[in-house]
Amino acid sequence: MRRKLKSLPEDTVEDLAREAMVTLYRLSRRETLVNPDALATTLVDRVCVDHVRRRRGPSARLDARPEKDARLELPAESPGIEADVDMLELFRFVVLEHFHQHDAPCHELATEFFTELSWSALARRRQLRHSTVIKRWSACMEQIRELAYAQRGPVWEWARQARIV
Amino acid sequence: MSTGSASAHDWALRQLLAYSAGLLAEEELLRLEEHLHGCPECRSRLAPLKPASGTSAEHLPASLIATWSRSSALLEGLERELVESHLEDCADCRAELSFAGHEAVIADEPPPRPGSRSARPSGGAWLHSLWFWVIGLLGAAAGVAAWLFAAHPAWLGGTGRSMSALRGSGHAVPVAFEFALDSLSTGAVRLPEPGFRARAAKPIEVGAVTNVSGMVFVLPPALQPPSPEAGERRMVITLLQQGRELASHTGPFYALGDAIRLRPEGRLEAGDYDLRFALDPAVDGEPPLVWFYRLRVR
Repeated sequence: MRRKLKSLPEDTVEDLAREAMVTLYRLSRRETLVNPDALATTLVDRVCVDHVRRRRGPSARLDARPEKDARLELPAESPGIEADVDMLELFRFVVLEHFHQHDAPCHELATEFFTELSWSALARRRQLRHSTVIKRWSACMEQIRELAYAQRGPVWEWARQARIV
Repeated sequence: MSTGSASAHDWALRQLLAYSAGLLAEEELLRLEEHLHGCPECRSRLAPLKPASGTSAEHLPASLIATWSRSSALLEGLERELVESHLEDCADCRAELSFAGHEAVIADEPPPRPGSRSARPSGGAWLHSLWFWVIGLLGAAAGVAAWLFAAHPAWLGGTGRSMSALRGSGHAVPVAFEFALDSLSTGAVRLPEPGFRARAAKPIEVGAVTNVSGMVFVLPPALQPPSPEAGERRMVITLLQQGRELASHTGPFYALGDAIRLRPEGRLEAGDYDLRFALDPAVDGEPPLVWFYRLRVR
């Protein structure tokens, strides 16, 4: 971790290491891990890349995927406590949980999209027109936009900022 | 790459995060997917935003679990409720919290973080000042409560009015909530049936709002209790501006009556506001029913 991200404070290193270990534990409960050492290295790389993205905030351009052993540059500004959590993941979780409780068809769409990140692929698999799937999703997102506008808290604040680009 | 396609590419790079969160509007989605179809670079930048293989966005993020005691304390309102209800049902997430050394309980307030700007004074001094703060706060609350009961005896009853401070940009403007008004009151605006869809794009025009008329809303049937039992449930009405709570009232559902009025002490600043109604669920453990109306004040 220190090789990838220089001058990282000790407590942040601890947090990121714990995050990678939680994911490793999560995976180990779902399937037998074939090569845990290699997987742990991959997860640490991923956590470092994600950490840089979080620090850049929701309205920054996405970076190109770094080379495997490349050093990552952190932005100069000191992070807020919100940088501890991946707000993109937390936002997706909140959206899924909201739909899980209130709207099953939207929940299905959201689950598939957040896994695949392509409406075209999703439309092909469901044998629907691309524009039809997107219209359905837009109707689902009306609920979320209203919540994002009216609710308090870091998730909704992040969502508002992510749209101001 | 031509200038036009370069600017389209730059636009696309700035939309990818919102796209991956599902936040783009319909036209933007169509435009971005068309770009993604022909742009391997954008597709490769998007790829790391997919959940790690074998994991799902349906569980608490590993970053939240890893920093639970600090981060969970920051959750508010609906996001907090959703995390709480998920935790009740999800043995996997509870096990992961336990693995990370945390109890599966959302923290009440941010604990100190060594070296961070938000760290509190340490040990006994902090506890000591906290006690003074709590005792002071309780004293102030008792004073305010005594004043409210003396000045507004009907507050806790079904009919009447309550005051709440508008905590807007800088200056505080008290807002009175009045209930059980005549639905034929002058200037009353009839609220449509609540529903999640097809309202956000069309704010309700309420004109200028002053302390003389306030805003009077005739409530639709969905905002009237269907039975005496339902009437006893708690209703929280909140006025928000740009997502910030400005004023709020909590009382029994039956107290709303046919129409309500929000009356600011001065003139309400022009702009869009949200009026939120949150009704406690009929069954414990279920989420509250929440409705929003977007209001446009001139």
